Amino acid sequence: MTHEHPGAAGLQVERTSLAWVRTALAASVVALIVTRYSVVRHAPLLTAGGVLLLVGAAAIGLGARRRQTDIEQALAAGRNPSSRTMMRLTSLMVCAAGLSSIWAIFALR
Amino acid sequence: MDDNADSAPADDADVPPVVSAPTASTPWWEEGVDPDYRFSLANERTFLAWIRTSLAFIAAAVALEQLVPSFTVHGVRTALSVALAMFGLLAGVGAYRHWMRSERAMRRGEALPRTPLMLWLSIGLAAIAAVIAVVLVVQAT
Repeated sequence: MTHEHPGAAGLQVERTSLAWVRTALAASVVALIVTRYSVVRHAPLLTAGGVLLLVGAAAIGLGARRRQTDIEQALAAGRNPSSRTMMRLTSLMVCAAGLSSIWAIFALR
Repeated sequence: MDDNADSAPADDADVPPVVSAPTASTPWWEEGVDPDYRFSLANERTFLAWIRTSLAFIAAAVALEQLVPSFTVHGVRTALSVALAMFGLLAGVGAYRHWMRSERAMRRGEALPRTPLMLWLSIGLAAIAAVIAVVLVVQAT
């Protein structure tokens, strides 16, 4: 890949990596809110879900680093850096969180 | 697309890319040609913005159920919480769907897909705000 401005690729990759980090932070906040909710309501099943979400958030945080090197390697090799796996896992994670919270709101009413 | 969208990519295709005719068995990620990596990364960041929107909806749902004292109108708080969580679910599903369709459109050289999600979520949020306003008025009288 040729760039009109040297270093442009670095900024692109950096912005994307920061977006992953922000997402990991948002997921951690939701995980903590859910965990606190479950502890207050004495709902061990939901606590497990909250902890699982926290683990997922940590995985996204670590994944951000991994993703950065993956993207850099793909660009160096002239490949397209899209990753279906990361998108699918992340999307599945928030959907699971959404479903669990719907269930919890009904169950703990 | 996303924040700080860069200028259009340098068109370094001297020869028109050979677009293999998609067959029923061709997965979308092998259709057409690889898009400019900057567009792919912008698409990825847009996906992540949707994911964060979804997470914010879920957080709002749980926070509403947990922190807000029950309205005098019975069941309203639970209904609003469930609605918020469902928006979160919708945004989470829509995030992947929209990312996939955008990536596919770029591979095929088509126009980017539009998503009705923004309209739905805006209407949904406005409806929630309206319900809260009505409940507050009912409670005050």
